[in-house]
Amino acid sequence: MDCLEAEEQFSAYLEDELDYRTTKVFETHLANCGLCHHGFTLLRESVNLLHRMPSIEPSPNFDTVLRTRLANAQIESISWWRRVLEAMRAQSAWAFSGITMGIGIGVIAGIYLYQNALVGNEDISVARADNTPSDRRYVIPPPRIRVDDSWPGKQLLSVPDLERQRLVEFPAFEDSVFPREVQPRRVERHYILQTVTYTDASTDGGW
Amino acid sequence: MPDLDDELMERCQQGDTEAFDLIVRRNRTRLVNFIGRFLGDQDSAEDLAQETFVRMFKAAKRYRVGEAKFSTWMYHIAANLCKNELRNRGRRGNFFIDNVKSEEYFSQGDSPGEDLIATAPAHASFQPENQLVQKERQQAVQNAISKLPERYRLPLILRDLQDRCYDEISKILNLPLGTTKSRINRARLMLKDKLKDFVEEPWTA
Repeated sequence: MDCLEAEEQFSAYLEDELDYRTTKVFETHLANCGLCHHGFTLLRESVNLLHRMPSIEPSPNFDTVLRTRLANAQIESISWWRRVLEAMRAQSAWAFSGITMGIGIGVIAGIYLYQNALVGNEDISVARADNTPSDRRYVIPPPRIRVDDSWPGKQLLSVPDLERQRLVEFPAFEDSVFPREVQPRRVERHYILQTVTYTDASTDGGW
Repeated sequence: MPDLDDELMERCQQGDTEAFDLIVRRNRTRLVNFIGRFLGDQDSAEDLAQETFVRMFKAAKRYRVGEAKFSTWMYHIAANLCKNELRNRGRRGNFFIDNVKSEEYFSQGDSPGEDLIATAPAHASFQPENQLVQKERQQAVQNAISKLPERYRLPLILRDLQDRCYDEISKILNLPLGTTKSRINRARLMLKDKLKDFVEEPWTA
């Protein structure tokens, strides 16, 4: 047994946990090694010092503070709805008034929303659309027919993309080709595709 | 056969708050000692001991009698709180302030022994010098414990100050038995080096 191995056995020897053979080897090493003997004695005395440490007594208000904390913990552990129910039971008149007021406000708000077509009535909003900026997005823009005469002698009809126009700022009704009264609620696109045949590049072409 | 704490916990689970009061009375001193020796600070020790009891109270319904020893459960909660507190102090950077506080607490005055002499009882066997030496030694031991790394400090306190067996310590700290034993031995070796001056004096004299 070397010094390092002996040091590892200090506590086990101190607490009488070594077997007979290891105890004998350890004691032989201690008898022959002054350093380890001194180290073991120091360790034993240090442990004795630990054992002699005085007890720390809790302060007199320990229990009082703990009781308060336990009471708070009990309150916290009760679920929120149970706490609400308890409060309502304690103040039943106020609770009844509060619930009645809540229901009343809910009913009034529901009626108001229904009449203003914010809830499930889109047709009304389209019909009520006017020039105010907030309502413009509800209006489906009319198709505008553009005559493209970039090619001499040819007329190409193009219909602006309705979906795209709905996203951009839509011009005022005054610019629209439709009179205000007949603003369509829904525009269906019907495109007529015509095939243009060119027989000769030098000709003017035609339909 | 379940011990008294287990029986009290069973009663506590059935809503008996007096049973929990008795649990507190039976365990508060050793819990305050355990945490106090670990942190070296009486105020924090009491605060954490109370927090341990609050957590035990909250978790009482989940406690299973016979699955683990009551004291193992209690020390396990306290040890975790101690580790968290030490980590928080590291973050706040006030660890050394608390050490100073602990010295003040254990010396009970600005200079060690000052208050002790002032409040000394007039008894024939009372020897102020011996008391002073003893007080200084206790303070040195506390400082030496406080300077140990956390991984060695906890098992050492549980073994040498709380008198727990190795098996229980390994369960409290979730460590293998061999690791627990080697850590305790290592902690004692470190403590021996720190207390050299205080230990050598009496037995060489």
